[in-house]
Amino acid sequence: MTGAIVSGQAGVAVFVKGSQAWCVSRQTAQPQLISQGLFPHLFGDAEDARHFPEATIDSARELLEEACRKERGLQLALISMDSACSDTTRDLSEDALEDLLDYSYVGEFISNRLFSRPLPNSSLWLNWHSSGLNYSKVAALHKSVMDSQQWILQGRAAWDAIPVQDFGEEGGKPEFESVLIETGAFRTIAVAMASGAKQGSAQLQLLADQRYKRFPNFRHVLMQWARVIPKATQAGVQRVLVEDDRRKSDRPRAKSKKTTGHETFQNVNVQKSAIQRQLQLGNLAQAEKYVDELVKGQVTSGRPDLAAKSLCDLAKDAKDLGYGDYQLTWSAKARELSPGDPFVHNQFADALLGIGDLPKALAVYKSTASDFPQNEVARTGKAEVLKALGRFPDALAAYESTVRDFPQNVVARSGKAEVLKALGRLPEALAAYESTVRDFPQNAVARNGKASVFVRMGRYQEAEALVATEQTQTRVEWIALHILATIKLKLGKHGEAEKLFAKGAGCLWADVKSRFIAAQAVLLMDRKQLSEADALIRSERSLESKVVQIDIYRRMNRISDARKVLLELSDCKVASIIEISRDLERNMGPGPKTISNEKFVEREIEMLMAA
Amino acid sequence: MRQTVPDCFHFCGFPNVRKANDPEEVNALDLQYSEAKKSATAGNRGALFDAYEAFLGASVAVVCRSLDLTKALLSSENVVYATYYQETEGAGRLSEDSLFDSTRAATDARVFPRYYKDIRFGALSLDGKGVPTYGACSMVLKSSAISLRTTVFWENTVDFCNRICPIQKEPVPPGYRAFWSTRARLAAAKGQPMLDRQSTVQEFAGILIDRDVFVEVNIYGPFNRNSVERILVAKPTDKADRAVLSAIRDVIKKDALGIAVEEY
Repeated sequence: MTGAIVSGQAGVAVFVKGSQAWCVSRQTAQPQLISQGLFPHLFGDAEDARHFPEATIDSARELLEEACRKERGLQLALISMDSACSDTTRDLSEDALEDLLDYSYVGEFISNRLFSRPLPNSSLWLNWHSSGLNYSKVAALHKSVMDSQQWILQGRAAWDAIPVQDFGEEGGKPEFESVLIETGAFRTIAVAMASGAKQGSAQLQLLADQRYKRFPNFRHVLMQWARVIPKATQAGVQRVLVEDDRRKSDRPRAKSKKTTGHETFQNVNVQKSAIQRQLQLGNLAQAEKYVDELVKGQVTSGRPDLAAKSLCDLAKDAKDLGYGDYQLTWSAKARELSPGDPFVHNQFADALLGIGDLPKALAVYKSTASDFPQNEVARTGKAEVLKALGRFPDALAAYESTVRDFPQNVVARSGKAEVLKALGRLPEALAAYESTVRDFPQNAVARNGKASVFVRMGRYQEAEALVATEQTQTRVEWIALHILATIKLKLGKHGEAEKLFAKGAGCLWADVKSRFIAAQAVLLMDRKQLSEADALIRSERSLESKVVQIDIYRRMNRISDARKVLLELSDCKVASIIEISRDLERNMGPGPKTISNEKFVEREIEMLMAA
Repeated sequence: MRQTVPDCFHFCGFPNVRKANDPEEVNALDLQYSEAKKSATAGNRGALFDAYEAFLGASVAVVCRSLDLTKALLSSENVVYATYYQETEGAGRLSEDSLFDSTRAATDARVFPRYYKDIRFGALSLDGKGVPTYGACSMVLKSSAISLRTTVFWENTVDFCNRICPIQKEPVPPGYRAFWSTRARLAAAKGQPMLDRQSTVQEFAGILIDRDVFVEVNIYGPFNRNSVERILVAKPTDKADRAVLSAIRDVIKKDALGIAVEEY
């Protein structure tokens, strides 16, 4: 065994190499060589010991510091709410906790645990108001935990309701639960309920997490967990409110406000679900009508900010279902209603990006980033548009500055790697992805990115290992499947590739589905089944599918049709699309060809994978 | 492990104590002790040896833990000090399939056959401070809570077996364990070579626990906060440590545990 075993509770890390071990502790500056006999007892009663196989003797100390901060932070939070402790102790603990909360991972660690079950009735936090706390970060933590108590209760009740038999083996449920707590799944559920997010998106987020896949029946369990929550909501909330009534009988006004707020929230959720359903069914007029009613209701009740949030949620749904125009319209409306909310501007910019209006998208992201410099989404959005415009050095600089300011932002770090890939700096791109995957092992986007770099480098086996699963529940899993199909194609396994591309017809995300269809069309085109390829791609609306369409018409010698599609792309500012469509235009009609048909197939497959 | 005679259910003692009481063990330890004393006397260190042994008569069993784990143990009567095996067999603790773990298990099975999963480990101490590598907080256990079920071993059992009897199939030699009331004889015999004519009483504690070399205390069965007599802890250097130590004092006061806390 090599690596380090680290426990924040015990305050000890042991670095092991072969038959030797060194102890790193908070009390000693230098690692101490220890005997075999000491080793197992160093961790005492600690329940948090973890093995880091890649750790070095130097990194073991850093890992220990991080583990100690997390555990200590949790201890201090518990002391802060412990009625058995004196005022002096609680003040000391809040002061120390305030310092520790400077580390974002400490807050996350504590929240993941505090969100896993409701606070006990004896907890002092239940009787406090955040504004009464002297320390701002502790107050923010207190507020987030208190605001979510009803959702935490429901999430816990939903989890407890899942039969033990569903976990396959004895002890499976507590083990799965401890991983869910550790990884913040209870928090995900509570936050999803509190923010009014859809059940589906919470399910998808949970299903995408690699760390749950080792548990038998994990998919069924997670789906069941996320599904049962809305059903339990009413009863659960009533219970909370009754308890609240008992506990806070001296605060009747707050109580009645809470009830009204929740009912409104429930109604909004129902309305949003109905709108989503109408979009799925293609009943667009009905969807529009429902949207108007929802917005009108929220604006009339004096909450235009909530109306804007609803519109943004719906805009995101519309995007996922392939209705880019609705995404644009609704997010534009949201901007009017709540101009002080960066979220709405980002959603609007994303819509502009989706329809290919890159200059406008860039302008919106830029102004949002300038108005809200702490908004990471605006900054990564700006970088993404710069990348799409082909302004790679600018995009790289934008991502790098975001990574510098927000080192834990996985989008920025993956984006930086993506730009390095686009610049052809593949070893650097690989290194950037590797560090991102190492720091965020559960992040499938980074893993997909790393796989695509391997494909570009011709290291197909390593790429395949990263996207080997054929599971398709989430958007990123579908993208992984697309990468896998591309690898099969590169390896000359055409049959397998075609089968995987065909599977993409079942994808729920319009933009990703379009990639699968376009890839199928490219394969048909390559086999000279041009009419079939044309029939397959004709109704697709993505920019990439337009490129494939141009190539098909070019090969069919339907030059005027090809030019019509080219015209549709005339406003497009996406660098990769401009480049390939320009080359296609140059190779239309009679005359010598500068680029072979095979090369175009290769480039189109690449374009679809990178999209 | 059997603690009663099957035909009459009479309590027949704790297995570790029974083992230390085995005539072979007792005789071998007597021999070690006599030779150590003889050697000390021959080197004009007889009085020092006697003084050391007298001090050892008041030695205490100490377990060390981090502040966090100490607070966890003291927080409730229901929290018991778990054994290494209970931790690794429970869901909470990572169990590494490492060379060290297998060595530990193999050694424990040799030294404490069939009852090793019930043994808790500590160190013998003169000043109440334990082995610092185990944790910053030393908990001194009440003699009354452990004396009938505790034995002591020459040193850390794994290190001992690796050094003295590395072949797994060979028996562990007798004379290196003692029951609680004879711990002073064993510790004096062990410490004799380190006793210098210049040794002072103040240095005795450092002879008994010399960094990671110590006399191991083996306690059969669980203990909880009621078994703790006092706590010694290095003066906290940061806010967080101060807060946790303050919380430990609060719980001791609130639950009237009567545990003294000493900072050094």
